[in-house]
Amino acid sequence: MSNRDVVQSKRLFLRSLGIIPGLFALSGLTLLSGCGLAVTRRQRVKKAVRMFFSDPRQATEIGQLYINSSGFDSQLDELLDDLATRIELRWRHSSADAQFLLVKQIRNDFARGNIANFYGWMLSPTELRIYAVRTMV
Amino acid sequence: MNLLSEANQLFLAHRIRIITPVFERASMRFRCGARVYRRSVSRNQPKSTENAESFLSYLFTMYTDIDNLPSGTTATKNLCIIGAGAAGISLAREFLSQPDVSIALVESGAFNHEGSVQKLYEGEFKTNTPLEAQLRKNYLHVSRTRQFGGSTNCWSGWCVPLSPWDFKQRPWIPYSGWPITREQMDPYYDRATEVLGVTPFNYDLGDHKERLGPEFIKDSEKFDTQILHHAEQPARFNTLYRDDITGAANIELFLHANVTSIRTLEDNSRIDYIDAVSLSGKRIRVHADIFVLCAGGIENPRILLANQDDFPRGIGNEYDLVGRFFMEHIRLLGIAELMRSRPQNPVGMYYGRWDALSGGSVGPYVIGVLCLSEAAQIEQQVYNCALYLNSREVPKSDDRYMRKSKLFNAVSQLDNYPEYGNRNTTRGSYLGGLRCRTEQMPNPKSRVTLSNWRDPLGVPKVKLNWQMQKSDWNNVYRSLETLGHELGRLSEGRLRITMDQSNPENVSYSGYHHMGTTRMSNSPKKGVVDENCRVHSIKNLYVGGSSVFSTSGWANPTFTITALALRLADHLKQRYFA
Repeated sequence: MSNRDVVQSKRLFLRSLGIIPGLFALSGLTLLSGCGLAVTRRQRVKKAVRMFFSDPRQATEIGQLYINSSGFDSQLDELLDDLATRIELRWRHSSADAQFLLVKQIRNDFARGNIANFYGWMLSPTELRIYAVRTMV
Repeated sequence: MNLLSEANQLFLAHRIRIITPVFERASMRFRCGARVYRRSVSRNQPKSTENAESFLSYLFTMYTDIDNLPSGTTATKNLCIIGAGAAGISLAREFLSQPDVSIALVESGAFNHEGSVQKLYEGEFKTNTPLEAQLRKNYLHVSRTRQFGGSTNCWSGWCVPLSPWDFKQRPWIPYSGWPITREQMDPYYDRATEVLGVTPFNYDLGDHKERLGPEFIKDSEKFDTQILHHAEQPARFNTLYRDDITGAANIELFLHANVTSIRTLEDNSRIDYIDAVSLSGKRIRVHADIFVLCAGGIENPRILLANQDDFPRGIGNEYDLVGRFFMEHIRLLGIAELMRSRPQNPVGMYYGRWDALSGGSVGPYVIGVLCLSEAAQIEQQVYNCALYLNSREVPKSDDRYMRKSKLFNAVSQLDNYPEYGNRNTTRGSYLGGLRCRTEQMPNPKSRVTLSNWRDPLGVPKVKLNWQMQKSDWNNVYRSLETLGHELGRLSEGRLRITMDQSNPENVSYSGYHHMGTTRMSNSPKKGVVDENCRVHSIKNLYVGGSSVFSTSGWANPTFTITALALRLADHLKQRYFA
């Protein structure tokens, strides 16, 4: 091995040493941004649900009944994620868009026959989750 | 002395009993005659001798109570109609303008209700609906009226034609399909309004939207609104057409005449005569060219089955079809409750309202019902069913923890997005219960047969076995489910089905509509009568009334019965009496 080769391998070694923290930093950033995205997605759904009800008392009571009967107690994040997934919420969608998509999803549930029986009433599972979310927030 | 006075009183009572009806009839005839005379004078007709003649002929044309005839009297007519109900009288009246056609109208009862005659309806009744069996123990006895005018004497007055698809063959409904179409019936429905004394009405909602208000479910492809309209005064043929019939020179009305025997000519291809007997034992015989049986959905098959002298299995019963396919309109109360998200849209039409016609005059009483559209029926493979909104029949809630108003307000706020958004002030309104009337799937096991018991005239009593099937109730359930989906899809409201799907027979009962027992089909293997209501195997025997219905639809039958009678009259005129 010539001196030149030794120098090159040293340089490579040093470079590789630089890549590792870079990679760490990058993965950390990705993780953080992912969490951030998830958080903002939930927030948008949460805001959309809040905007529905000018007088939330009725929705809250219905939501509480649903929570009690379905076991969604203290699972707000799961509910929000579930709603976001149902309406296929993207990063570009605002809270107003989320609100529109939620209503559309309720109508789609009925159109597809995806119905939940709630004390005998034919309701959409999406709307029941909305009431539950409204109760928790 | 006491015995003597008692005998005297008995003698007087007996005399009064004999004399009174004679005077009553004479005075009635005079009043009728005078009325006709006054009518002709008031129409500014010239007071010719013709008027006076018609007055005299009218005065002396008598209806005939066969109890007043010598037993064994024989009459020979062109046309013999058995039964003076909606079908029989409508048919007979069509020949008022043809005095050369002589008609015998044979009626079991008289002008007044008579308990002894009504009792002839009694028989055996069996059904698989406990509620019906419990409520209507005397179903056979109370669901019909055996007197002049028939069951128009207890007709509710609702008119609505059968839907066009009621006449069509629907592959998912065995035995469905009429050999005629709604288009063929339309002109007769128009004429039937005149006979039933109801305001001519266009059943297309589009023509009435402005007056009656919007549809309950707008923009729905699955639900249509159909309108029933009510006769201002339900036509009681007993009073409405008594003068027409008794005054007609070519119609002879035989009262208290119960058909006990129908005899054919030697080759069994034509009816020769009928024998009719009164409860007091007087007997008449009527020969005619054409016979039409219009005795009702249960009596028609009974008469055909009971006459086994020339046909061992009964008249027209070569394929064991007479009496089968008995259908009723199944009614269910309190099957669902319904809330609306948009109370600002009026729905008064669905609760019934007086229709205001042009010019401000009050029109008929109308009511809107929700029906599955033809496309939805095809898609869901269900049959016709009418859903009535009813604020008074609210089903009992099985939940005492959830206040309904909370749900309505919450749902309403969602449903009214985005029209109102954050400024949402609309609150859901509770609309009440739903009830329904559905057609029954033709079922050969639901049938009229003969009992081993006989009535006082020696004719076997009727034995009715009304059988519903699970599919009849499943049909209602699926219709409700579709309504629930549609309400949510269009953000119009929500539905709670309260119908007990496991035991629906516990809340089902009948509508007193007897149909299908001599059903219409072009094939003698599938029906008793052909498209012209003629019994397949008999050249001169026709059947009128709801017994010829191939399927029942949900519509009240009197309107269609009358329309079919008018159609039959046209056929007879063209074929035999042109």
